[in-house]
Amino acid sequence: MNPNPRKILIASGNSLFGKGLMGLIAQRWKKDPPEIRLSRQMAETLEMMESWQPDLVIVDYDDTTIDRGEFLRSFVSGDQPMQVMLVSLQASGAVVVYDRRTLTPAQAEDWLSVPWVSPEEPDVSKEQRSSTMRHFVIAGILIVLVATIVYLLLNTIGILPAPASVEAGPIDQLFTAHFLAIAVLFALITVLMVYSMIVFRQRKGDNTPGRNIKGSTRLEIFWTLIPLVVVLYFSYLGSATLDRTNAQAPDALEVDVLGGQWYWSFTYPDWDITTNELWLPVDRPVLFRLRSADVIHSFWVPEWRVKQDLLPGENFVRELRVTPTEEGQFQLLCAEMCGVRHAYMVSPVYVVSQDEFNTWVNEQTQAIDLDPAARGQKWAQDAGCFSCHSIDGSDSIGPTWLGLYDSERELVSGETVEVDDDYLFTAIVDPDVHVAEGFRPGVMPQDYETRLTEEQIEDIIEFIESLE
Amino acid sequence: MKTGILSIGLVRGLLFQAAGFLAGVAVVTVIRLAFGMGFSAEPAIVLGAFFSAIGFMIGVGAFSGWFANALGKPAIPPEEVEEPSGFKRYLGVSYDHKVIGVQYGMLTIAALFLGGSFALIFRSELVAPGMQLIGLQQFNTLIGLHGMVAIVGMLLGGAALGNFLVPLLIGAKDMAFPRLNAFAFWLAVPAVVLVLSSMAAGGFDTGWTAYPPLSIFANMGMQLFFAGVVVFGWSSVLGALNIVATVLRMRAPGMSLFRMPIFVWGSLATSIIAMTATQLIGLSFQLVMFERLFGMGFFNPANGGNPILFQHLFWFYSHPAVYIFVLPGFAVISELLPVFARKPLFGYRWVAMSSLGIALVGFLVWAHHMFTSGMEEYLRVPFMYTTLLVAVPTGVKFFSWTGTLWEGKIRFTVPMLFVLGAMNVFLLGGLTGPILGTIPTDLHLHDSYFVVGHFHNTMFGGFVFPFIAAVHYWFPKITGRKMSDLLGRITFFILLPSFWIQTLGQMQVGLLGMRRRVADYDTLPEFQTTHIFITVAGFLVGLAFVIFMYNVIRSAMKGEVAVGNVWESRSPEWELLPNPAPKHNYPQPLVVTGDPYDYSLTDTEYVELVPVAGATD
Amino acid sequence: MSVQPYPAETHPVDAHPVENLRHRERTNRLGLWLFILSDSFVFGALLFTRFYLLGNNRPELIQWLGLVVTVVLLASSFFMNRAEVQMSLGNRQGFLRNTLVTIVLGSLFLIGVVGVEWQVAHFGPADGAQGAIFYTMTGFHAFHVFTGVIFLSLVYRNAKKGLYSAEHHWPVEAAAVYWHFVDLVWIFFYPALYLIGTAL
Repeated sequence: MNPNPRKILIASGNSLFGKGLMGLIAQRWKKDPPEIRLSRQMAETLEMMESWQPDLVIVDYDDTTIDRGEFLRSFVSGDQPMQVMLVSLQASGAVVVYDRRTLTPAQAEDWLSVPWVSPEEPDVSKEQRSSTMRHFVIAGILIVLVATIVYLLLNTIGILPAPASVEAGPIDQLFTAHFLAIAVLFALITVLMVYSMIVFRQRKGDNTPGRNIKGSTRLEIFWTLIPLVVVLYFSYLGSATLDRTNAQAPDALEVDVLGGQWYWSFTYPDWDITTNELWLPVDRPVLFRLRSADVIHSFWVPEWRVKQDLLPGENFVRELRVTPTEEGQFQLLCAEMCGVRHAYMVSPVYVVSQDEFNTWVNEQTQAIDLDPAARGQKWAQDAGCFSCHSIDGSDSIGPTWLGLYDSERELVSGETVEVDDDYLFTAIVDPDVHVAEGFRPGVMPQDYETRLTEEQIEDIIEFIESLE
Repeated sequence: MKTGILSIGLVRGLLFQAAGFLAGVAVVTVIRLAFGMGFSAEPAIVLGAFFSAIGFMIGVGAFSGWFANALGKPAIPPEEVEEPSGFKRYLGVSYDHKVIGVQYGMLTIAALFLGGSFALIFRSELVAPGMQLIGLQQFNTLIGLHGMVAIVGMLLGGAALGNFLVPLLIGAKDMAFPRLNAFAFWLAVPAVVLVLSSMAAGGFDTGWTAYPPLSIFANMGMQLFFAGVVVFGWSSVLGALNIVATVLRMRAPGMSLFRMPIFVWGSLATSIIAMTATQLIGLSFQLVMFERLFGMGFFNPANGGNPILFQHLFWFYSHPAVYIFVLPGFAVISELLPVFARKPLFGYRWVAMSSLGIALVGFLVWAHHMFTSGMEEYLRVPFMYTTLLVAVPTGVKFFSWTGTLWEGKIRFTVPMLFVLGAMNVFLLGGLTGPILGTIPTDLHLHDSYFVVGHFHNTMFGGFVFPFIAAVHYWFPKITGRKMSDLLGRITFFILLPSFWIQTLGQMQVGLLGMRRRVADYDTLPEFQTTHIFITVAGFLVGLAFVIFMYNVIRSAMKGEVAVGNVWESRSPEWELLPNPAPKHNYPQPLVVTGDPYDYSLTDTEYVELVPVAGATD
Repeated sequence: MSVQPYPAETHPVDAHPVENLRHRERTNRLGLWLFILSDSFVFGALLFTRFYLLGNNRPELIQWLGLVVTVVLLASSFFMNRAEVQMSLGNRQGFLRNTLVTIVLGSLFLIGVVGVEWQVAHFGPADGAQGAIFYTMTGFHAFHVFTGVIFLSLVYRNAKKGLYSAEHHWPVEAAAVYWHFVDLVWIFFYPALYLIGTAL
């Protein structure tokens, strides 16, 4: 037990203040409990300061019965070490500590002249309130105006490509809803900002501060709850729109899509056709089964609005359902970075009438040309060879086929080979065995042996031979 | 070595980095030869990369204190270490948080300049269809480096602000761990070198997001990119940890959490994210490195892996990362608005809590980057809900800022211009978020140029504009001089409209169907006109930034001397300290005697220095 | 209310009241726990990876070997705790003995995992997802055990030089907390790799 415990005097007209503090202090300093006395009246406080000489006086700053001037006089007049702690519970728990020996005149003046802190919002005069109302009204009108203009702008300047699928319908509706929200919120904040910048700018020579608004709990709750409701609503809208987009049609036309670096290949299992152009009949639901041959690609026709990534691996086939509603020619774009020629991984899409589609199917299945070279050209086209090999002599990822057959080529290993049937066959089914000088291994797909029949490969070789 | 070029820490560091690289290459080669395997470049350069980082740190001298400790020798306490004077002190190890803050700041500006320059190169290429200036692989490498270097720049910028300001604002002498502070900064330098060195190893064609399987097949440059980012991640984590510890332990007496300057809240929330989530980009990149080096089947289905796993791990960091970029910027806005509106920050507590709210919700939204990835279907809708939820605490900030301006007395100083510009640009960024966050609209917009527009809005509004504001504002406290007001205004009035043109153009082509990350585009639809606008605007943005850089450098040397509380701020570093701030900040402890933002109560103070016993003033 | 009055004579003019040894140690402690929080994210992500790729399957491993190394590691934590207690009681010899046992057990763990298990496992790192996961998880963990052993060795040496006291031995506490953390990670990794799910 400390023989000289610290002496604390708590001065407040509010008995709860004193008792509460006493309890806190006793709990906090169990090891070395100070001696605490309470005083509820001015006179008692002054008397105890002189006779008992506490080390610390804790004063309830909000207590209007305390005469600060008198207290201050008594405080500075003594010479025993003493500190005073001014505690205001109403001014967000403000605490100030002064030491008797070091109290400066400026601090004393501060203490005397600071007004009693009033809770929450300060008293607002009638003029103040009507002036604020006026500002709100003008700003409000401007907000409605600007929001309308922005919304109309977003909706009329044609910022989306013309919709061409069933799915685009609900998706474009969701876009419109977003445009509305964007227009309103943009107008709200921008108008308020610009209004403030003009109306509330500090004029020359005026050094007075702005209005003392520290906050408003009501407003905070309002502008937390309203946005919360709005975002929940938009999430619901998004979910509902997604359901409409994912609607499953029972007898969809099935197309298997294989994407690889840097080609598209489409197989129609109904007729066993494989092409590198996407032909579809209008107004017929399509079920795309998407798979990648190597890295991640992505299937996107902007006019259809929907998009789905292609993943490599047998277990990673993904589906995409679209119903094209507009005839015409479109572009299928790869929308996931897939390497050097990502920009060029584009295939044409032809949406035609049902009759025209049937005609096309017939052409694909029947007219297998009798000329092997012509067939070979078709197989090469479908298999995506022309993504990397030109037929006109120009440079590309792989060697040009023009003049390739029967030529002599140098390989990276240094040996020189003659490009004959055997060489070309190996070059197609096992590309990395012979790598031509100036080109790299590991680029050409390794799976042509499974994707093409032997006859098809021979036809392709015939085609290459024909390119003198 | 006290004189000569080898006395400069940075120089020694770089030399040792080169030596470390060679050592790593040698070790791998020797081991491989001993096991009968031939020389292989990739594993050699990977170990070389990590050794080079260690080498740099040894060379610059960042290990010295701890090394002594480990050997049981007493080390000089950080605050007593003598440092060279003049500019040289910024080129070596310093334990002074203000010096480190400036070092971070200089590296920030260098990174932004470099990353921006990369962009101007490929933007020039994009002016017309066809490839005129650079090759396809170069294009892909440049967009990837532009992304990562800009990201690094923003992480460094947040660290710069946090390091310089937090101790000053909480009344501390320095950070909680001064030596760790220096260490974390210097780690960033070899990291940046490694990232840039990817250009010398064939570049990489994946973009900064480095998705496998493409990143598994990419050139060797990919490994240097990965190694650099992993090392940078450690820098980020350690620096953030320091800030958290400092904020929680080193505040002046009387400064409860709700009486700190609001910037400290932003820095705290930022650092909590940086300290935790960053580990996941490090890990995800390391796993790809292992897959490349050892054939480990994490992400390539051909090896038994799952490519979507990478995206989960990667975005678990990379989404919260964007809040690391913008929370310090938001905090700067909150900090400066009261000063230049001469009224309290509206709803201080709510603003403080909203930073933590954004940080928390930010951890729950990552899969909105994966809506089209083919991930588990049941994940899409919940992530849409959480994504839109982030708008709520962000809205609290915006409304509070607007409330702070309302009925104020607005002073249009240069920092204030950039703060207002930041609000304007981020408003656009924030409003273009939800349209990406609802799945059906994202199906159209994902991987389109619209996304590029969106994130440049958020990054410029949330980081670039506030960073420029902060540099202008605190410049006198750093250097004792003012930046040129005229040049500042020129910077602003070039930057804001140019950026608007750039971003509207990007969003327009994206909505119309242009993909991102494409080196070339067709003549139809007609995108070229917009691309010309975007490129010209981009060059003007670059011009504004160069003017800013010139302003910084010239003012540091010859700017007008700034005496006293230049902005009439209530903040402790302005009220109680001269310009520039002295070495250990406050000569005596400070105590909180009022609210930080009571600008309307002109006869109150926020902080005071505790009077010294026996002193006469 | 958090202001505490401080009589002027108890704080020197140019030092802050916060700067004393106890404050320093508490700050260091916070730093260490923040570091551990950060590091947990790495191990958490590895656990996520394991379950994402393997689901309800697990690698086929030698159970008794896994059990042995687990027991060794848990035992090492026991001795680590004893060591720390001895240090706080001022018993330097007790501390040194127990720390040495910890180091030995930790090294045995490393030999058991990297030296034995990795060699005898019937799959290699490139053998599909199970190989990738097993070697990476145990590798990251082993790296942390290794750095822990180094940390402990330094602390051992410095304790021998008499640098620590019963009241002030922060590096001992730090090494111990780090060691227990690494042990805790294994308490999650061991079931995830050896016990949960059906063997492949």
